[in-house]
Amino acid sequence: MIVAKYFPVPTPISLGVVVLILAITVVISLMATQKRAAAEDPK
Amino acid sequence: MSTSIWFWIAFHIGIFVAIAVDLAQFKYRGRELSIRAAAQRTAIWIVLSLLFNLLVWKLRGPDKALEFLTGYVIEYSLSVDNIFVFVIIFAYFKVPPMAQHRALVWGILGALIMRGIMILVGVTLVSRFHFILYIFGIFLVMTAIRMLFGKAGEPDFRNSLVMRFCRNWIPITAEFYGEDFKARVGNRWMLTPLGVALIVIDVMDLVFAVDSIPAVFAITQDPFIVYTSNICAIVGLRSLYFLVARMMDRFIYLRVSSGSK
Repeated sequence: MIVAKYFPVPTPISLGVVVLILAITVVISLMATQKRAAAEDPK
Repeated sequence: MSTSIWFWIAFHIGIFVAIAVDLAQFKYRGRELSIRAAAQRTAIWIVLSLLFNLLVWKLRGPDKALEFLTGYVIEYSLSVDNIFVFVIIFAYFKVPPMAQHRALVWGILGALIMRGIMILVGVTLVSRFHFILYIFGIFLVMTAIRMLFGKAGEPDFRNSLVMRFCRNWIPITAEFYGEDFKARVGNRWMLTPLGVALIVIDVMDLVFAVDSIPAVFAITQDPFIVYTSNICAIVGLRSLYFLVARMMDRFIYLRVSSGSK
């Protein structure tokens, strides 16, 4: 936003970055909760 | 390219009809939303927004459609932050599940009006004073730094400005009166704790809009795209609340990625 005049970021890249961050977060969250559940229930 | 007044009218009629149908269905159902029902409704709101995106594509072209989609995804992901705060507010006021629905409906209607005003003010400021965009940008960077290095933790509503105002100036009942926001006790009207929760929800939405609206301005300054993407994201917030609130413990990092810690 501040440097958009000199380094314009195309909208598809902005969308891609937001979607990528959300996807990574969801995957890491699920992995962490599964790991935690496995540690609490070692059976 | 300006948007026809009829398109604005049609958009708002569509939004209010969709909210009314959602509400009528809930009233008919008469019980709390299950995770499955909340997931179905969330999916319906997303599909409706994507259909609207198709309409934008048809009427305004692919570039505007992409701007709408990006704005929608940004607003939707930022609204997860609102949900976490709703959970804290409802827990603080001990709001029963059925009353939560009513507070969310009116909270979202209040948010529609307030965001509409904020976007109108934002668009007017940006069109007259372009440097405002740089101020928005600096504000967002500062918010990010504060989130990165600030203390994590739940907001304390007990001593917030809005709570102190309500306590000092508005008579509040000690207990809930069903799903009513106000109740007549003796000879005077008083606000119920649900009414106070509604005020806190709307004030918090206003606080969140201060950084989420500038985030969309980074994508586009077209008032139609900024407004419609915002509205489409927040109308689906109620069903998303009932979905995310119950799955919070599974998506532990979602709050971090939405920028709220």
